[in-house]
Amino acid sequence: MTIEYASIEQFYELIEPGLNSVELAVYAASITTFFALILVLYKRLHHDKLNTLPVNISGFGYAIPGTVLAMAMLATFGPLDNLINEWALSLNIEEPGLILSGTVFAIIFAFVVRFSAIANGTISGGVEQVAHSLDLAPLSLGMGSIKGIFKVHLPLLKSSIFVAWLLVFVEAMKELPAVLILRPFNYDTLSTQIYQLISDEQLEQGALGAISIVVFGLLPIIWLNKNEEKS
Amino acid sequence: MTHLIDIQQLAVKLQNKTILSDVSLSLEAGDILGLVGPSGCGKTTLLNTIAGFIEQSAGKIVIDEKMQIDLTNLVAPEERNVGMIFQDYALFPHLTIRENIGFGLFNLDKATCNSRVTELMSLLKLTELAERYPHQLSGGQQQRVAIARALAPQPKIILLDEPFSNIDARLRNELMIEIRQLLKSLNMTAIFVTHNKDEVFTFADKVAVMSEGRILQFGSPVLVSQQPNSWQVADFLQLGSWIPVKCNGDSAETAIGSLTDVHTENCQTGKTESSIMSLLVKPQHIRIENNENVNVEINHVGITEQGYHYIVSSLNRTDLSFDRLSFYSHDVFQLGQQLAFEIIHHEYLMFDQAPPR
Repeated sequence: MTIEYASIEQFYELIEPGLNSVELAVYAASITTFFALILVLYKRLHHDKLNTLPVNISGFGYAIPGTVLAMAMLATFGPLDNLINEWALSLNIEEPGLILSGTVFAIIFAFVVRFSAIANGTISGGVEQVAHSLDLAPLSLGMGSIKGIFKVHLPLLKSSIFVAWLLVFVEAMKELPAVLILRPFNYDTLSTQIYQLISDEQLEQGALGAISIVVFGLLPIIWLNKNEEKS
Repeated sequence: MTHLIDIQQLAVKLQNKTILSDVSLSLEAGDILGLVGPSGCGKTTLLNTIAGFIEQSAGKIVIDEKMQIDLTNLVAPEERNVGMIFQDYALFPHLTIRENIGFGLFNLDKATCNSRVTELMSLLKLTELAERYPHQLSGGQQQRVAIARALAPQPKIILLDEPFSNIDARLRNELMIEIRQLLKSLNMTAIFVTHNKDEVFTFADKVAVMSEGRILQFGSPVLVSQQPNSWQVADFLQLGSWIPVKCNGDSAETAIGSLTDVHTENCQTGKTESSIMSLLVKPQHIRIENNENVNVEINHVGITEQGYHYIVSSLNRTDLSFDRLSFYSHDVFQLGQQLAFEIIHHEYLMFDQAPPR
């Protein structure tokens, strides 16, 4: 039915929100994975009492609903933006405007907070597979910890890092409530566009966007499953 | 002679628990030291402290007389020039054997690195395996790669954590001799950890017996096995069986006869006179008499490469009776058979306390 109703114009309408969605998801996945990697490796390689704290705290965001998180972002970034603009004014610099709460920064920040637990879990699983003696072996061969991470841990965690990235990417593509509240004016993603079309009872038009999200979500999962079978 | 490693009053505390205390030992270049002791006695902790993976809480480690490691100067593990061979070998699974061996040579130029790796591979008979990955190798081959990798940066000393525990029992002895010859040919100082006393006697020049975080005795394997300084040392090295003995100055009583000319220090000091002590009886100190004065009964028969293994208990049920005296013989005896035992006169080893049974 979707195909019957679909027209070339509708595809064109999807391009911009589609690119916005992909852009947001790529940023969110990359930043989340990067932080997860640092926190998980910190937990692994530091042996003080509080080494698990950062990774545990970063996982809390998963329990917060998108809407609540978005409100929290607004409540934090709004005053911060005001402060930045006041400073700029007092220093005689041009006011930057709502650089935190009025741009995609807030959305990406919310995504990173919300999806850290997913990336942490996946990368932790990968790190647990690496024998503890491999943390020490580079040291015993005269190589410092940081270089050891690049030479040993990162190559061994390659697939976990990629899986974490993909999972966050798929989640970020689908996320609606946070984007709906935090998006800048005239900024649409696939999910917000579908939401609007569906609210307007334009169910058939909305379906095309919905299918694109499903396809974006499915492709990496199919790829993952294939890879798993191979290994 | 200069000491290659000198450990002085080393102590380690982890989470307020004393793991090592007052550990002192020194090794000369080319010495191979075996650290033995029951599980949890701190031998692997000592190895990890020397390597720098665990921080010492007191004492000093001096490596090659130049590097002083103490609380004011805790040298990072990567700067100690101490090689380590891990129990699971810790080979890098994503690198080939050649890359694994060359891993520690990152500071050298490519040509020097290649020539050293090639030399080590031929020394350890790994040349044909150069392009394979660790999971494609047998346990013995993996261990040789781990040794080559540890030797590549030319460390002052190498540490081996239970190096033979994952090796097939049949190959173990062969590999031990091979690796000992290699270390000797390189004049490499080594410390290895084991809980197997046979490995000490095959592989080590010196032995340190540990218990509860302390070194009980340190010396050559021959000296330690001939003159253990405590019952724990004799018991851990399984030098023989324990039977109760009552001391009377120059003579002593056991459940299977009296001993004369007892020159054991403990017995002569008088402080333990007439009290019950423990006598170490090695299998070679037992003689079976061909007479009617039976004093023991066989309650276990086993077969070993040294002949039949028997465990006997004393017929005499006084405060000197015993239940587990081990001996070997090529003669066949029956379970329950009664024999006349005599302890041959030798340098008796007696201790105040017996191992718990």
